[in-house]
Amino acid sequence: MTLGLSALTRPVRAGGRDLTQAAFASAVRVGSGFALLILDEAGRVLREIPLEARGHDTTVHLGSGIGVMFARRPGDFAVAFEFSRPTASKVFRTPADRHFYGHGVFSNDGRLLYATENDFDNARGLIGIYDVKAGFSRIGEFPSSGVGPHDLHLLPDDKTLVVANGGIETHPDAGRAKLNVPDMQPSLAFINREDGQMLARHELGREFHKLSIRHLDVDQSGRVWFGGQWEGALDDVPELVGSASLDRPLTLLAMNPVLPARLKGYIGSVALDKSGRRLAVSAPRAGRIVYFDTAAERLIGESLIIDGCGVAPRGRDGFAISSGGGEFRAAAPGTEDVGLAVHRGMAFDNHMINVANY
Amino acid sequence: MKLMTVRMIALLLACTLTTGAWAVPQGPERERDLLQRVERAVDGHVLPTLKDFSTKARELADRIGAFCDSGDLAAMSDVNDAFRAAVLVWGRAEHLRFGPLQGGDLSMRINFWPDPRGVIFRQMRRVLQAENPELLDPAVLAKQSVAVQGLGSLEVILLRWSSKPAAVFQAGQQNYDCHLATSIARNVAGISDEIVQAWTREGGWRSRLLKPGPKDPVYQDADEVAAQITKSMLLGVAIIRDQQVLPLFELATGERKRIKLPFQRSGLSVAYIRESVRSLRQLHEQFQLTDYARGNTAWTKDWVAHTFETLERAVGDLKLPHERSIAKTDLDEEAMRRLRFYTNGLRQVYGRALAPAAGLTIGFNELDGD
Repeated sequence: MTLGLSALTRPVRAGGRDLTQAAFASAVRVGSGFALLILDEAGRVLREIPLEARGHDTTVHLGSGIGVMFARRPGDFAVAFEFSRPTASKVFRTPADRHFYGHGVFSNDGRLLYATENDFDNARGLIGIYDVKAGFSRIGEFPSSGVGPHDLHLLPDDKTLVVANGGIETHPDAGRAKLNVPDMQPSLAFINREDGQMLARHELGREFHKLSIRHLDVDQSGRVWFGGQWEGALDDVPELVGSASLDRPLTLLAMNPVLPARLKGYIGSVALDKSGRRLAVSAPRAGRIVYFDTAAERLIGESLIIDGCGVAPRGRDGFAISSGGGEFRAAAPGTEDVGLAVHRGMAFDNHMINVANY
Repeated sequence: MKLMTVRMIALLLACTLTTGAWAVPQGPERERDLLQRVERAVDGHVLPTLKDFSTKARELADRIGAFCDSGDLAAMSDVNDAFRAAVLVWGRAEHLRFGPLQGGDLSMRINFWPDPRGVIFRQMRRVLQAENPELLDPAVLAKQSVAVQGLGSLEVILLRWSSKPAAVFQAGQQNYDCHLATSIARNVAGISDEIVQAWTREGGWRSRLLKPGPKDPVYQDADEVAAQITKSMLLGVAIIRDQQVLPLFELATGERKRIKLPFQRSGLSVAYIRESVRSLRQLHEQFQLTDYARGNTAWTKDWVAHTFETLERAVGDLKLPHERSIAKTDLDEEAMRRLRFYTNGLRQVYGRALAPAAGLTIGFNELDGD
């Protein structure tokens, strides 16, 4: 399948590289510009697609070989590309009164793409719906059931979207300023993607209302793991990682009491390994990635990596991790990290995905 | 120094980044040096600024109280002067969002800004119509929406007074506006006192920044506190760029039709920007991270000093004859472009050249993640 339509960006580094080896995708800063990188298992660059501004997360539909990278908020562009063929990529945008929040997900059949968006003049979180075959034309929207939706995933039933409503109001006229921290109300919403009906909406207690639920991963049973970002005082940071499901409320994973503050109250990315037994969460402000056993719900290790933020499953029970220093490593709890590549002059952005994991 | 283009800065940065950082001195000497810089920044910039705001906020509350007690409209100019003084010192303090101001609650209670959807005006209109007597107690007001308890809400009342001075006093009695203004001003003064106390009390934030250690969950070593001061500088530049300069630039280029600047309706926005810039320059002069500029970052030492000077002069030259309703035709597009260039450049140079030159880790992801 080709993306067809008009090519608005051009692949600049695909010649001679075997794109069938595509394994990971990440946004990067390159010098003073930005790009989307497609990497192989060893972190070698297979393709570099320039972006008009800073990107955020990528989602992929494995069956059709298409990926989409979303602009970081308050950007209004997304770039669709084929990850295993050097065809031209395609830029599409939100309407003028919306912007992306940086995350999205395909339906299992690859026909529709759902993206978190901001109806900023009304401070309303939305899920925008895009028709893939119609050149990513926007065909609808429904409420995200909260303010500031960020990450979203599709549950294994192919019907239920789970949305991390971070609770933070923003407006492009105010840059990236957070407008409602004293009153924020984050939530995790489960929404029927077919009719937009909210199926469940979980919140933490009032004392945790400043824990912005931001990033998610979902295991095969439909259990949702999340990482939060604390907007309150650093002396009062609560546990930052937890789980929930459609019919089970949010619970926070118990941590050593000093760990949340040591992680600087900030989780940047969340990823389960392929088995779903291990969870990696990154804390770039602390230069740490910590690992949990999901069954025992306990901490089982950590990697120290300055400005490390991207985490993605790699191999059977390990992870690939990336950093703002251009590092790409193989990591697993209980073993030494293996540095696979360092891309000088490049800074890996917040998120990295395993292309084959979709 | 001739104006450098963005491309030139990018080129210099690229060279700086690809040729590797200058070897940063390590060990106890560097740690002592960083802590001395932090002490200078705290005692020479942070505390004087916050104490000055506390003084000005108290004076504002006193002036409003005296004005309302007197029933003398002639004293309104004293109130406006005190309001102006408090607002401009807040312009010098907005970037100090660490210590007690970390998390943003207290700063939003002092001034709920940015307010792109006009929440302050809407909520204040309702409050002034409802005339709820409970809000006249600053302790009750402190628990209400942040949009009705700070300098922005006080501005709404002062503007009402300016437009209809005769309505301030009814038959010689204070009206609800007067009582509410007093309550708001006392609330702001109380918050500012709380902030100063949190900094200066035994074991408070001053002590924590100057004596970081493994037992402190927030600041464990000299690098962390020096990085905190650097982040405060970067935040300050980002606030000026995103909330003050970019709106002007985009109005000048026609990308925006209307803009909202802080305290624009009171005619204080240009002075506010000026104070914000002066304040960051003062922080830079106290902290002097450019002392670490060596080798391939040596050029940043003069560049930063010159850019602050030029930025301050450029903002000083900014004249807006119709400040309350700025139009595209009031603006020199090229001058706005230069303001954007200076602020962009300062942020890039501080974050990507100077901090690494000093051995401080302020990562791409940690600085501005999402």
